[in-house]
Amino acid sequence: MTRAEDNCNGCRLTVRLPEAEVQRLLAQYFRDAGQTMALADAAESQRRLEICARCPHFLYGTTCAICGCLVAIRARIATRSCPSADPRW
Amino acid sequence: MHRKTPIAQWSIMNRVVIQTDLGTTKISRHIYGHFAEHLGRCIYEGLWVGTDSPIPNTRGIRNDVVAALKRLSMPNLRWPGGCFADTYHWMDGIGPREKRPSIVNIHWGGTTENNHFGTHEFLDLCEMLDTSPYICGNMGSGTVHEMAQWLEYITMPGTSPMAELRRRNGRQDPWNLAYWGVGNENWGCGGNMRVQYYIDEFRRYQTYCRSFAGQKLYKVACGHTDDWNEALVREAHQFMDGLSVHYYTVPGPWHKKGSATNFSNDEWFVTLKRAAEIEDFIIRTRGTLDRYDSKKRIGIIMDEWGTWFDVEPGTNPGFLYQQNTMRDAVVAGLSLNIFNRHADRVHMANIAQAINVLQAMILTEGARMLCTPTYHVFEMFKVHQDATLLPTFTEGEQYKSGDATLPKVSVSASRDASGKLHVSLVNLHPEEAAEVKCELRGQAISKVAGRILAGSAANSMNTFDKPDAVKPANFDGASLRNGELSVKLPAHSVAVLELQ
Repeated sequence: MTRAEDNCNGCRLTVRLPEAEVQRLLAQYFRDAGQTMALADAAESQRRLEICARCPHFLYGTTCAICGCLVAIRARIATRSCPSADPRW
Repeated sequence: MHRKTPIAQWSIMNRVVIQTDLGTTKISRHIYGHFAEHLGRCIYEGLWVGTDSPIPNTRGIRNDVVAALKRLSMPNLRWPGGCFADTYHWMDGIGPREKRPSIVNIHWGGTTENNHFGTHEFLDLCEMLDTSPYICGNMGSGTVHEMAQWLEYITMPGTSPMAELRRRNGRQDPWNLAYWGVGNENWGCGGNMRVQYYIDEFRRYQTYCRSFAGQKLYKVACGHTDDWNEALVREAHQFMDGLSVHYYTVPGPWHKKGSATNFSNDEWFVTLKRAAEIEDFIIRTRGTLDRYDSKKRIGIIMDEWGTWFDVEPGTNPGFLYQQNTMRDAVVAGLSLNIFNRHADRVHMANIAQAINVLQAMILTEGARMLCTPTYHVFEMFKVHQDATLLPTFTEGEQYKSGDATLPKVSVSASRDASGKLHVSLVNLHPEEAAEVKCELRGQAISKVAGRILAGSAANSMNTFDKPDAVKPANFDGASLRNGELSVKLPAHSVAVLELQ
């Protein structure tokens, strides 16, 4: 799964994102989402992130293995919940 | 493109002639094949959740996903890659799971791969799905001996070291295996080989690729560009049954491919234009094959195809997770019509990928699952599987964008074993309806029925909260009059008709 002109995409991809890249994606996400998205308050976001950090499905310090999301983004959105079949938050 | 499509005026005519009494080419059901790679959440979470998961499963494989895939009459499943195949050492994935090594999936982001889904689990899945396994062997970093042993492990009914190892791992009888890829993208991630080197390696590896169960093994060589294919087919055609080629529809440059769900009319057009150009690639590839294989023994194996957009915002970029809209459905319908029409050479195609990656059939999030618009196209088109291709001739409107044009309507037709005719039609235009007149030559038709997939807007999609927002509906836009079929296709729609 590559394209000839890039030879190859897979080699350039990484699932391990530097903190600066996570912050860039987070800022871009909420900029594109606009003002209408309800955000969780800071305490709730922090609570969720602490639960994620202890979860066996938490990968690479950034990512939920169950849904593939960057948890720093998902935890900020008021209406989102833990995607596990046994939700932790 | 978020507004609902207005009721458009019916436009000028498109004309289709279908020769219902002609046709000798069978549309191989394998054109409707699939692909599952160890990438993102395709295998893990998508197919495999493990035996201890609260998600209902059978021997670790999700019951909901299996049930949904079975409804597609899935003919085959390609595994384990893709690029992953070039680094996959199959013995890592057998034996007790707790003893299998965790490795690094170097081609797909450096993820940790625990090998819990290996040969037994994959072939168990294929048996659950009643689908043919299509395994891609590791030529990039493997050895001839390793590849030959894998085939012995899977197919040997008698006594041999690998058959005994398989039995010790709990499987007495060999599995059915017909399709085998001798490497993947060996011009790139599969070893960065030059074509002459690959040709020699292909000739050597395939010598030792055999089914020990007496079944013929369909061996697929790794194709690439026109020049590569010319050299490979010229110098190794007698050793191959299929030629693997890949074609992705990417509307933007690689670093900014474009959103899967939020796109302009221009991006819609570019996407469809690039999708349609797969036919040029097929025509050039079949020309190469014709020069050395006039009897059409060797098949084009389009074993990776589909849309490739930017990942869903908020997800890990290395997981290649993208949503799926009516644009994907139209690309799927257009592509499948093209494959059908070239069925004398296209023996197999595998859309990338089955679950949670690229143009997926199914998306999952924990215990939740949805079927995408692309899934519904595959379900509607399954009537073409192993049916006889009917010659069609199409003329009519062009869908224009600037100086570029595309035929507005795409068509293919077939006759199944019971004599029923099926016609699949796609309206490529995102805003305009299309009127089609079909002349049915050679057979009196008295009854028409059908289903349509349209969505309320061009970017309509299914979400976990609204999983049935886009689904097929009975189609009342087709009518018969004096033996002529009239069809009114809404904008951005895919329809399949049954005629008797």
